[in-house]
Amino acid sequence: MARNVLRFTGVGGQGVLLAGEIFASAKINLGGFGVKTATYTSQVRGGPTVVDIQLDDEEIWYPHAIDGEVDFMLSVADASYQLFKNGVRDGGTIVIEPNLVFPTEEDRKRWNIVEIPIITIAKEEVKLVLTQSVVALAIANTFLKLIDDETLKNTMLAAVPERFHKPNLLAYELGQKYAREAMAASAS
Amino acid sequence: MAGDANAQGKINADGKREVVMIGNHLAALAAVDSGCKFFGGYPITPSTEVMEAISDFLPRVGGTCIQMEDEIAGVAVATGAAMSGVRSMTATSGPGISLKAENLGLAQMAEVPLVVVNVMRGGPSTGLPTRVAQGDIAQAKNPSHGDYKSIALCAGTLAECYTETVRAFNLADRFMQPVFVLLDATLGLMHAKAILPTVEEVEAGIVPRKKFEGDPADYRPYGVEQDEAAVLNPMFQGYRYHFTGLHHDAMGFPTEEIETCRKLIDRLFRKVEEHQDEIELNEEYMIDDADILLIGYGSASLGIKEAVNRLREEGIKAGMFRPITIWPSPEARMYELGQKFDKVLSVELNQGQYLEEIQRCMGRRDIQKLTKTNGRPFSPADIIDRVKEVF
Amino acid sequence: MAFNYDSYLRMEKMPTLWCWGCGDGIVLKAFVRAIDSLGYAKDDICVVSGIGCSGRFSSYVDFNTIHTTHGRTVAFATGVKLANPTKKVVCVTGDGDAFAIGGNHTIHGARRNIDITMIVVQNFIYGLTNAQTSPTTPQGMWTVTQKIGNIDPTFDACRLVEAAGATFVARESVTAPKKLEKIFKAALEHKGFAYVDALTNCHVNLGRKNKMVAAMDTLDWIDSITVSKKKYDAMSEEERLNLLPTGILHHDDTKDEYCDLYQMVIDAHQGKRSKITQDDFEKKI
Repeated sequence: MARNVLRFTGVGGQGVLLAGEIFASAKINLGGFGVKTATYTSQVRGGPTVVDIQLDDEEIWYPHAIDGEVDFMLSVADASYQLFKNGVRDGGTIVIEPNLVFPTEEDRKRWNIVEIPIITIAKEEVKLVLTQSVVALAIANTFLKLIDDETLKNTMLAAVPERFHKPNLLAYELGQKYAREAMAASAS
Repeated sequence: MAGDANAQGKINADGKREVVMIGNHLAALAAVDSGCKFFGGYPITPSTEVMEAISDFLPRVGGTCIQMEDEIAGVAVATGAAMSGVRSMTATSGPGISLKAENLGLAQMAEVPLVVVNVMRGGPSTGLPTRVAQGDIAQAKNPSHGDYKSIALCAGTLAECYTETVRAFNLADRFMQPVFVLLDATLGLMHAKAILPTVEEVEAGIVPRKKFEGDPADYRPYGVEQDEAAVLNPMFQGYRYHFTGLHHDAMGFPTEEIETCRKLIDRLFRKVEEHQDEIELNEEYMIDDADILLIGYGSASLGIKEAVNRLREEGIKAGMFRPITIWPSPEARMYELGQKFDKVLSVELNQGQYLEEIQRCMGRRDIQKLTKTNGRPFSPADIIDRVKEVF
Repeated sequence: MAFNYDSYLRMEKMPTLWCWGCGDGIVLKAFVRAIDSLGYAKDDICVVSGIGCSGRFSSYVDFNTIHTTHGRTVAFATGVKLANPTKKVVCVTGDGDAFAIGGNHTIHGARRNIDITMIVVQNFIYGLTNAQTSPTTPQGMWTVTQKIGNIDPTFDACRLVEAAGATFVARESVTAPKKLEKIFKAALEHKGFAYVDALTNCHVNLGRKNKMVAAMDTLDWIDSITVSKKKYDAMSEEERLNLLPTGILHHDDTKDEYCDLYQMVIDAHQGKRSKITQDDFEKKI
């Protein structure tokens, strides 16, 4: 496969960033190469944060995503969305939390912007806001089909304590469901 | 390390260990695998994850990790443990090295083996705490006042966060002095696969510090050949001597005797300079047929490698020389390369701290440079653009 | 028979660099007698000193010895002790070491209650470097950096370390060498952070310009500002104003020692006990 470059952005302290780590680990479990880098501002809590993931079958040297080469971005905070959106290639997909991120009209023309209420899903349907990272993980993988769902789910489960397995599996299913609906809507 | 599933990783088809970790955790793992039994430090971004990991690793093997009241105490407690005879480490970032400097000078003077990990961030002063820089290269050469010869290793890949820490412990015991391991915010915090030697391989490579076994009456810890390191036995075993930061005699006692003082500092230099072959380590990437030589180290080399690959796709033959042992610098090899290559570009995340050393070693002043000090890494495009601009 | 100090001292280093009439030698001898009376093997002791006249203490005693940077003795000693919890570790420092440049380490060593004996050779001045102000120099006295008279308030080192958590706190002066020896002995026997304020005379640099130019004058002054704890306790606040109590001022054997606490960390990590929680401690905040 060619290199896939994903970007997760939010504000410091939001669990959505964990999704990146799980992606990299899953790719590595399959024998490939995955690199996660995170960039924080000095205000680790509440500052804009970006996590870049690169997945490849070949060894990856430069660990950061190269601006203009990001295929897929997911964002749950407007400050970081505005700061990091320009790394996404034209025509790339950006999934946003519509209650928290506000793209311009030009943005909607330049990128395939998909609205999924990630945090609301975690908060109200899973009833565990921490699972937003797994909702995000499922959404990203449903769009990109990078890793088979079983491997990704198993990697995710290995990273969370056992008592949280059930809600996280639910979060994964909901992420898949919302992503499929969004894809169907944009196709029609 | 034994007992930790993630740290054990899995053994691949080549018999190597594969782990998925951040660089700071790899440095901690390497320390414990190397027989380190003591860590003292103070939290500082972006190095804190070293202490976070080793605070779990060390007690499992009966070692000690202590978070001290400040950076100065962090290096002092680690040096105290090292003086007593155990393998010991501290970790910090540039501001912490500034604070630790005086005690690093004591460790140089009293010849105490200590591994000092510096996860570099943007400076000067508080600078850019969470962002990457290579601004502590000059500091690593001379953190403390006075004359001594630093040894500084600069990891350039995730795996080297591990292997260079292992090497640092062996060099510290061989040369009886602090050894720096320079990481940076990119390497320290990037999370990916690293292929490591197995624990057994690391253990087999451990060379502990020399020990005097004869009659204590004949023991002269600092009375060694002029190109050798002090032989400092562990405390509490019948070989009593003295540690001091003052100029000292063969037993470690303060003296101002002219010839003893001259010989002491001369020896601190010669023990390193005359054994540089045991310390030097470089990587040469695609330089055999290259027309353009890029020189860089640390995480900047990741962008350089990617740039070399992309330039070659365009038919531009570039190659990279990467010193892994930054201090002492690979003087002879850089001189040879300076003779061979007309086009040389130095790439570093500072204003040219190593450029001066490259110029000195090559005996040339026409080295091109690419520098950056805004806390952001070099992208391959930055490097490619600069190559096309200057050559 | 007179006590033979030779086997504990590095006799080739004699005479000491201390001035004629300096009380530091009394501290040294009282310390050696205390060690001897406890029967410790020389190999089992590590003495760590700092910078100043007291800094040379470590080079005179035939133990495992470290002469550190200014003020950092407790931090170095903490490393030696934690790596060798069964050995005896002693800090000998001056008042500048312990309460100016190294004050933070003194506070935190006391807070941890690590099993270190800390002897502060307290002479109220920077002696080795010729009479600069110390945190314990009395207000109004002459120093070379405050020639018009020192305005900086002092603090009571014993009260400071007690408040910080030291479990043995004592003060004695070189005018009572036998008592000093007894206090050193008790401090060395105490398991935990044991602090001894050993008052001594610097007639050369404190006394010279403060009308105590002879050693005896400065020693008399020390006698005039000290009183036994028993008498001190019976005094009114007003009477106590210009007096320092001597003797064992605080002694608590109930607090956990730091190396023992760290053993709990090791045991927890090795699965020999459960994780450490607030239930393990009587004092919760």
